[in-house]
Amino acid sequence: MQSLIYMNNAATSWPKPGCVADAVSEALCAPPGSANRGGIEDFDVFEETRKSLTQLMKGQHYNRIALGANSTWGLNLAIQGFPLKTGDTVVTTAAEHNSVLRPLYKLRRERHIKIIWVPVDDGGRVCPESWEKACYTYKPALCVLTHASNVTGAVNNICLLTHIAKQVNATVLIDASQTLGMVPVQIDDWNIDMLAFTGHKYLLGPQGTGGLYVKPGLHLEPLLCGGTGIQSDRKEMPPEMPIHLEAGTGNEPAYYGLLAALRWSEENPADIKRIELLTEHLKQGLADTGAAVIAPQGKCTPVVSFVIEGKSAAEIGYILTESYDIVCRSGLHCAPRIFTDLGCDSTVRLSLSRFTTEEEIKAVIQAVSSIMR
Amino acid sequence: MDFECRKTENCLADSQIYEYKLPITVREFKIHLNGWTVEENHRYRRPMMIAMNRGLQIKGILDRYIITVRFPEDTYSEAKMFFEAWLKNEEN
Repeated sequence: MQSLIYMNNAATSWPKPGCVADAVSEALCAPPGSANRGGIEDFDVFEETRKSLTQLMKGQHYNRIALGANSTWGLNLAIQGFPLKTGDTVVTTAAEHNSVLRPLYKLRRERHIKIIWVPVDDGGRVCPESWEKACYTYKPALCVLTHASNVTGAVNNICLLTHIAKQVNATVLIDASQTLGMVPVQIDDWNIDMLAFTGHKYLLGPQGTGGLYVKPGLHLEPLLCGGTGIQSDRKEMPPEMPIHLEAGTGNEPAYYGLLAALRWSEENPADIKRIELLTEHLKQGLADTGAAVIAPQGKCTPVVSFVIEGKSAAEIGYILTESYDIVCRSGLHCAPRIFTDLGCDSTVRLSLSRFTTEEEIKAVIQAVSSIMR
Repeated sequence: MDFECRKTENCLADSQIYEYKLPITVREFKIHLNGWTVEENHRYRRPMMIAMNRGLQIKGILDRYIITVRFPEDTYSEAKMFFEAWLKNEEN
């Protein structure tokens, strides 16, 4: 473990702050919580997590956050729970993850919706002009877009793109899996209708956490129906949020871990400038070796994708992982449509965290340099 | 030879990838690869081998006991069956 260089934080972050494992362990050892039936003095980890998340997202209504297993859960809830009917159009982008693509394909098969794909530039970023053209041409019922590409790190201008979509009265769903905890998110100022997030990437929480924010006034049909711990005599899910969208027993230990991570991050804000500098250093260092680095202009998350001429991404990823103990990812990264616009068929992806060191960056550059020779 | 087999994560288009744990090292295994195009690389921190034959690709770190085999997507079922039959017949 000592020599491991972990560069796969866009998949799941590691390491976590020490308090996260402690919190999960303590929760497992303690008597379980009261599952919505607790009294005024009972600690409700889900409620406290919602409050913390709402603060992070610069929102106001913490009871509008439904908590579940991950952002895939949240995105499916949003896309399949939104009242799309036959003939409705959804505008989305080529940069989307399969957790957006596959639910949309499902709705295309089952409800015969129309999907319009807005291309991205060769850095993976949505062009506002193309987005505007699609919105005004197709007048979509729903617009779905990622805050940042999980392949290139390019951060989209959500404030502007949401504003455009709202001009044509579209409902807007943002996938913040790659940004919450690393890039500012402002759900109220940006007038976002729905935002899906995950707890185990830049929020530094355990896997098994994530959810969906739903703006007041917007109603979704629940995907999962089941026990809610309250109102058991009803034949349908209770109407009030967030319980309307949360069936079954929540993953309490994991949410204790996420809450610990959120509080730790509040007390120990990340040095974003340092992370940005390290990312730039990595991009430049890889480019200096002769690798073809995808380097979007403008704001990015700490994600770097590259290719090496004459070698497959699979081979490069294998060498880095098996020969050099550098954990990375190679292939399509569950975002298959972006590669047409990037001009390649797959990449090797390195994704940093706030814990990545300068020495690790140097070691990665050296490893890639040895592959080039 | 005996072996254990497991499917590995595959985020690539058009291929099926499996890992095989062998009773011999990859360095010893490559002796069995007559007719394969075998490339070794000793520059890397852990030297490795890549071997290719009829659309199949085998990778392995020379001092380890695990090979990664990439089968072509369209014929992987048959190719895997033949590969494993061949592997079983080979002596350690």
